[in-house]
Amino acid sequence: MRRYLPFVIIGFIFLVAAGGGLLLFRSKEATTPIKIVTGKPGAEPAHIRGSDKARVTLEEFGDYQCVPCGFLAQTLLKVEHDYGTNIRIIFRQYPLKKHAHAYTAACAAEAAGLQGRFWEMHDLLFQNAPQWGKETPRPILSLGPPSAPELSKEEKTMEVRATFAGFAEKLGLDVERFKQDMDSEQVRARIRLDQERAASVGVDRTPSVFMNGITVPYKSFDPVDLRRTIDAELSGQTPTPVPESPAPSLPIPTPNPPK
Amino acid sequence: MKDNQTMRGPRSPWLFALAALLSLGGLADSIYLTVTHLTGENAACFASSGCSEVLSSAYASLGEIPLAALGVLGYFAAFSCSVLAAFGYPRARIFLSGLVAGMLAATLWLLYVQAFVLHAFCDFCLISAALTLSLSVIVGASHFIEKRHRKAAEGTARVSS
Repeated sequence: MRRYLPFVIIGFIFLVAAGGGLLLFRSKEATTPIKIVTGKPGAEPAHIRGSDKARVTLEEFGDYQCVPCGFLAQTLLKVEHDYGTNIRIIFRQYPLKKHAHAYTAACAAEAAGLQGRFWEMHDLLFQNAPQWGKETPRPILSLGPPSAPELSKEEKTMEVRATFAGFAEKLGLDVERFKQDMDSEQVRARIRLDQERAASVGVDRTPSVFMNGITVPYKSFDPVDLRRTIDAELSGQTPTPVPESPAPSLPIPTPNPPK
Repeated sequence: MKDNQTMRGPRSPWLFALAALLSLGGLADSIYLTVTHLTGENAACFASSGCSEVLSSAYASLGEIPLAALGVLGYFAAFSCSVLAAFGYPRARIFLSGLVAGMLAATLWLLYVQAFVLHAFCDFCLISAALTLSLSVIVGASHFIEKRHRKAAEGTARVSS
C-alpha cells in the first residue's frame, strides 16, 4: 500500500487542483455579467470618433496610464481603420487613483479637446505612456545608490505636465491656453461627469468597454476576439442580454460638434 | 525498478514534505493568477499597486500561454517530485533539483523584469518568488544533508574495514 501512497496523493492533489481551478474560472466568468447599460450621461458632448450612422458603438472607460488601455488603444485604431463607417468609438475618462499621473493625463486630453484636438492628444498620450507613465521604482529594490537624484512626486508631476505641454505644442495648440485649461473647472467637471457615468454603470476597472450598451468581456479585447465580437454584432448574432430590471435603452451621446 | 529506487529512504523526508507543502502554496497561487489572466479579472492585490501593469504586460505570457499556467505545471511537478522524494524515490530528488533550479532562474528573471523593466510589482508574483526561493533552500539543504550522511557512512565503512 505504501508503494502506491505517493501516487494516490499526487492524483488526489491533481483532481483538487483541476476541480478548484475550474470552479474558480466559472465563478469569475459569472462575475462578468452581460448587462444593459443605463446610468448617468457623462460629459457632454462626448468624445466620439467615427460615423454617426455606425451600427456598432464602442464606449470605452479608460485611464491613460493603464497598460492594457494602451494595448486596447492600438487595437481600436486598427479596428476603426478596418471597419470604417460601421464603427464608432466613445472615450470616457476613468483615471485610477493608483496611477500617479493618470488624472493629469486626463486633464491634458480634455484641455486639448477644448481646442478641438482631443483624439490627437489621446493617441499621443497612449503612444508615449511607456515614457511619461513610468513611475519611480520602489526604494526597497533600488539596489545601491541611484546614479541620478530621484525626482520628488511634485517634480515628477511638473515634468509630466511639461511633457504634455510639449505634446500640445506638437499638435499646434495654443500652449498657454492649454496649460490654463488643464487646471480649469470645465476640464475637471468633464472628468467628474465621466467618472459618475462609470460608477453608475458599474465600471470598476480599466479598460471597460460597452458595445452598443452591452459589456464586452475583458478576454474579448485582443484583436482577434474583438473583431469576432464586432462581426457577431454586425451580423445580428449577439445574444440579447436579459436585463435584471426593466431598463431604458442606452443613451448614446451625441457626437462632438464640428469645430 | 521502482523497488530498486525505493530501497533506501531519504535522509530528510520532512524536508521534502515541507517542499511539497510549499509547492501546494505555489500551485494555488499560480492557479489563481492563471484564472485571472483568462477571465480578465483584476488580481486582488493587497500590498502593491502594480498588479495590473505586471499581469497585463508582455512578460505575463509566452505567446498565447499565460506564464502563470507554466507556473501551475512547474509547481505541480515540484509537488509530485517532492512527494515521491519524501517516499524515497532517488530519481525524484534529481528531477526536483533540476526543476527547482529552472524555476529559480525564471523567478530571478521575473524579479529583474518587475524591478527594472516594468517598475511595478505584483503581490502574487512576489509570493511565488518567495516560495520558489524557499524551495531552492530546501533542495539545497537536502543535498547538504545527503552529502554529510554519505561522508559519515563512508567514514564508518573505512573504520570497520
